[in-house]
Amino acid sequence: MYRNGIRWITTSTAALKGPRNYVNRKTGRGCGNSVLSRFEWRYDKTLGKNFQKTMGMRYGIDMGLEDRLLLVSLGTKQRRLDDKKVVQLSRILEERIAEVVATDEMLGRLQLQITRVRVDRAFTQVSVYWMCRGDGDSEIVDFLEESKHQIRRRVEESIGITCPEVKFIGDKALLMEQEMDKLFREADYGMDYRLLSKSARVLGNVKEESPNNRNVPRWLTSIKKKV
Amino acid sequence: MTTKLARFAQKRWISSTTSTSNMYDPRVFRDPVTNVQELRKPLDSDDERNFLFLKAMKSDATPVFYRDHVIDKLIRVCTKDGEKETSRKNVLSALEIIKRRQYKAWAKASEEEKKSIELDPFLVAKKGIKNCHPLMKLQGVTRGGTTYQVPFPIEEPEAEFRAMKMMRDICRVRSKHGETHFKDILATELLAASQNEGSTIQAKQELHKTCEANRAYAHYRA
Repeated sequence: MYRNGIRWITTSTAALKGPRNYVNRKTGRGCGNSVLSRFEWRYDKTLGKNFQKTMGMRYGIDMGLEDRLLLVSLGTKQRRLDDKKVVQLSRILEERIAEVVATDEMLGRLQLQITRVRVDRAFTQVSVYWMCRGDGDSEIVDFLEESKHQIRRRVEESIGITCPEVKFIGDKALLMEQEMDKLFREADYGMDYRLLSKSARVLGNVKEESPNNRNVPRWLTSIKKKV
Repeated sequence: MTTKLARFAQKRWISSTTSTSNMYDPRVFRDPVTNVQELRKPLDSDDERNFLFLKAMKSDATPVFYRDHVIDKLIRVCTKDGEKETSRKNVLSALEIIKRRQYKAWAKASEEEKKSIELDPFLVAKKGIKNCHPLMKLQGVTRGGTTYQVPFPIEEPEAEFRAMKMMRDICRVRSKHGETHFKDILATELLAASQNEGSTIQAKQELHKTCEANRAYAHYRA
């Protein structure tokens, strides 16, 4: 009886199995020859590191690991503007960029309309949003891509600071609005929806046809008959 | 551990690249024709399909003569608890009912009216589903902690799915109330929808009305 009890305690207690208690031969947990899919990233990473080290040691090529470690330890300084400074800088740059766009002849020909200018928190990029109108947008995109460095240089000259990279992004709010208006115009509402809907009465939808049977006074009718 | 990984690397048990070859050589094989109308056309003598092989067809696209994309999708949408055979039986029975009704009407009609009566139940079903396509949908958008129902434009496949889903739900509710069987109600709904009537058309109109009531929030989409 004591012998059976001792054996039961030995086989059941996890602490007595030692540090590799996650290995279970019966269920296969923790042992096996294949890499599970959720650990594939770890396998790939280790393989890459091992390959780099092996090739470096074998062929003596300077892999730049020491320089990389040094740079990582030094770190790079990054600005971090707060919300107030972001707004201020965005406004200043918006004025300057609008001035540059208005002054330039080619840009003036495009009839560019800037809706918003946003500076990112690290002051590494200026996002300029311009309104898309659907027609000729691709040409505007190409031209802005070509001339963004020139715009940046002129902004720097007018302000006197180093301006970050300028990135032009199309603002599609107008196109979306037009699309939804078209859908609302074409949609099937069944019965006369304006009797039931309040927002349609306020916003307006389909162009109302002029009423043919207006209340014409009798004296006007008699005048028309005489004529 | 390193030796194990090295062993894995040597034997290349795990492949992380995309496949570089296919069973069907693009120089020799072409896609099969699944359109019945295109199948009936004669093949030109210059057509390359005279000299090339065709790929094997997908199992859900064969036989071509009895298949239709809209009907197959409707069968998938009407499937419940994985019982696709039951759903297929219901939908095809509904199409049969449609054909019988149209043929009765066609037999009774005069010579002029016979031309306007459509006898093909597939075309009737297609037209009905097409009429039930909604143009927009409502989607929740959270701005400043408040979630608004914003009208969005809808893509064609999703519009098709929503039309079928509305019809399916209406038919299920009615069949659960014990009026008649699912196939009868589906046949009635498809016929009514092909004439721009019925509960599914009303449901679509209700959806459009709700979207129009939320039109003031349309600018939140961006």
